[in-house]
Amino acid sequence: MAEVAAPSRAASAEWRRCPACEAFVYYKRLKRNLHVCPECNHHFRLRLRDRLDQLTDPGSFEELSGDLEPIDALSFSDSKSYPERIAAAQKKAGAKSGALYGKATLDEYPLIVAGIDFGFIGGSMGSAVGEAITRAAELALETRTPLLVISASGGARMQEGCVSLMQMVKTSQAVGRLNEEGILYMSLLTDPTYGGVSASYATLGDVLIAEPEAHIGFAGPTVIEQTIRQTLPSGFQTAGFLMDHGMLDIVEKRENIRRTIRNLLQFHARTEAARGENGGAERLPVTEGAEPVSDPGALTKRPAWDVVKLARELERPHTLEYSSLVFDDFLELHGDRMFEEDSAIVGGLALLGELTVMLIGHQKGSNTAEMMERNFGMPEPEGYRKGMRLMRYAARFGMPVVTLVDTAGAYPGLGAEERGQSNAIAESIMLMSRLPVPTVTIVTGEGGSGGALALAATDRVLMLENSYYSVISPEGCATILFKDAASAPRAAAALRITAADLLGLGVMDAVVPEPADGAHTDAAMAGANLKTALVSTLRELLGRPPEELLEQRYDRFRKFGAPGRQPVLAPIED
Amino acid sequence: MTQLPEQARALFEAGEFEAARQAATEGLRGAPEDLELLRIAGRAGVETGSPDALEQLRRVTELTPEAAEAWRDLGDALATEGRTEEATEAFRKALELDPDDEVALTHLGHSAFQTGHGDEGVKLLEKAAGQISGNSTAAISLVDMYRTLGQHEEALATAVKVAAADPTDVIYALDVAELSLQLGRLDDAAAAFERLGEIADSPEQEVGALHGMILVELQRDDAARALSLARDALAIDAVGRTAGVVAHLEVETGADPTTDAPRDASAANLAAQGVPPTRQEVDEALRGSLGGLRRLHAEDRRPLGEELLG
Repeated sequence: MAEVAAPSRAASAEWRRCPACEAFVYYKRLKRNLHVCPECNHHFRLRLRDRLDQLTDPGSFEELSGDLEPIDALSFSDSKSYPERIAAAQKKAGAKSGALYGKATLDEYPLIVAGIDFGFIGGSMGSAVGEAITRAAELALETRTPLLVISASGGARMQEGCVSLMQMVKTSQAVGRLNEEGILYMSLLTDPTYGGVSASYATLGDVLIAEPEAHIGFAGPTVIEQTIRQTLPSGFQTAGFLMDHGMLDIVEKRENIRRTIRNLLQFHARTEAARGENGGAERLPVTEGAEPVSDPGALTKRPAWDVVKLARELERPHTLEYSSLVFDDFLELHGDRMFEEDSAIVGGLALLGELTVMLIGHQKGSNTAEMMERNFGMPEPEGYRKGMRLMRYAARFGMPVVTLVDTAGAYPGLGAEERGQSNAIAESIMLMSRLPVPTVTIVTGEGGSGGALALAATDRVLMLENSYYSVISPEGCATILFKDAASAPRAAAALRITAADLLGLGVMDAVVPEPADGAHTDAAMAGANLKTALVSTLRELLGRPPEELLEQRYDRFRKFGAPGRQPVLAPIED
Repeated sequence: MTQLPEQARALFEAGEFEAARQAATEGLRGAPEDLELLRIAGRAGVETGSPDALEQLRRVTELTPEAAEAWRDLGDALATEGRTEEATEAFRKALELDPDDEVALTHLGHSAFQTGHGDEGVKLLEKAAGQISGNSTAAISLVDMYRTLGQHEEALATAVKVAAADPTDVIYALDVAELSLQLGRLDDAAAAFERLGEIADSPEQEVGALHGMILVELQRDDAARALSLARDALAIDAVGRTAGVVAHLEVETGADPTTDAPRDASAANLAAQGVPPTRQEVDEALRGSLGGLRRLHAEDRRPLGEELLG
């Protein structure tokens, strides 16, 4: 047998068995695959150091938590003393505590990072963990640097009693300060995150990110099953389950998480930079679309009913289509954090040139399956509550809010009423009317009554040329007032729902021209025109102080119906 | 230039793979066919994900086709890339040249098992494990493979050796305990679960160990002892997995649920409802608890690292 001159370092032959699919996987391959099973995509639990290696620039992590150790404030002992348990855990983990924090960079964006290692007494939160998270948040506040916290925990640490419980307040109030000061806090929830951790700082992030199949909850499933004596549904408390229930912004495969966090940092870095630049107007792009129209006489005259039909065209672009036609980047954020993810309203961070805005809008589908999935663009209260959450997010960071309206109306359903549809719309209107940032609405299709208005109480309201905005659908009006559903075209005209009429009434500030046969015939042109209108409108608003925006917005809506201020339209000519 | 091979070798030995790869690559500029530099660059490249690694190691096999370790390195690189069939070919070649090559045996054993050739996989791993003192991935996998093939005696014998080599590992201790229970060696099982409790570093693990001991006592039909253990578990069970077990055993033994035995809201709730779980439900819950313990620790295993010499 020949021999090769060689290094004597061990050759590895380590294999692992995937606990999900039971396949044997070569460890180096598993590692190369970011510890995701190549056979079934099961995401193996990662040690915190491995996670940091994946998420931060090589060599950039500077640990600041070297002195942190758990405190045995209770002199606790069960079958073993707490110090004995700590010593065993320290030996096993090769670390003084189950958490660490420090400074790092991600693609050169500075970042404060903290995390919990599940391998240290089940990642339970005691004094040292609470201290690491809190110090990280305080450092983020002091240096105005975004914070990323990576959690994996069974909950509070019993051996520290109420001192452990107090960590929930300590950490929550620390991230609360970041919230008040507009400093980005991203929370990465990994498998498993439970109890006192999920019920404190970990679910208080501006953005909550989780890996697929990560288990996240308050009480464990066994406790719940024993209490309610029912078998829990498959997938209970997985990231997908939480996403469906509006509790997470993003569920992302491990391979994409670094990129997602980088995108968030980039969006926010642009916002931070725009603060010192007169609101960031110079960050807006140069556009090539047709300028918006504010003279009703300059618009193509179309019968109102024809406009309604055009506004309802299935192929007409909706918010998600405009997110790519108009914006240079878009990161969708999900969830109302209360009950359900409502995909009839979508929203997220969008990049307009070099300016980050919060984009929120109705989303219909363009085929039957999509329309069913998105409830035909008719939101339930959860949709509006998601929208409000994103508006508050934008206000916190000083981002302009752009809304795109296209709905037949808010969903008229039993559940929607049970969960407060009226209140959700009302709250949204009030919140929008008082947002201390520039706000712009563009009605892109149907502007169906309160369901539309809930996203349209803004500084400037525009509409696409062939969209409509109405207090009731023409069919509804025809049935109620004309006692004849077939009179919908007549009702459409009478309601004065077209762009020209609404300009005349002052409801609209400007109209976005459409391709001759409607936006659906040339989405690119419709997008270009919308972009031009949006940019010119924002250019006018950016840099204005919040008090001025609020005062002028108040006046904009105050005038409607006020004697002497409300424009009156001439009667319709036969 | 003359120092580069030494430098690259030292960096590689120290686990500084990227620096080793760079040093070896630099050395290869002056000596593109240098076997040692090619091998260091290739092996370090496998560790760091270098796109050149595979070709460098392939070149080593071309230059020294009779060297088993050259084929083994190539197999390693291919296996890391997920090119399983090509890796198998390379390892077969390595084994032809050196029938005792543990790395090749281990790879081929796992690959054979994975592709449905269980008996062949076991044979190869038995040979690999037999050549390594202390724990090896071969021995650890063998426990799983024997269990999968229903060869519980062999699984237990191997598990005992694995656990003896690393007495602090939860999974190894759990393997011994579960297999002893499965084979009806109740005294051994009780001792193994007790051992599991001793090495536990959290109350949750202790609860798991106690759950195993309850299963042993239930097999012994000693409900009173099982109840005593269940009450011990309930006292430290933060997530209430033992409440139903206690409720069942109190009914089973006719024990007074109003005694001062530790209870929690779930146990009281179950007792109040008067519908404690059945024996089958209790068995399932206890086995589920052990399964949970296994899942919890299986993914926390650290790499064995350097158990095989190259």
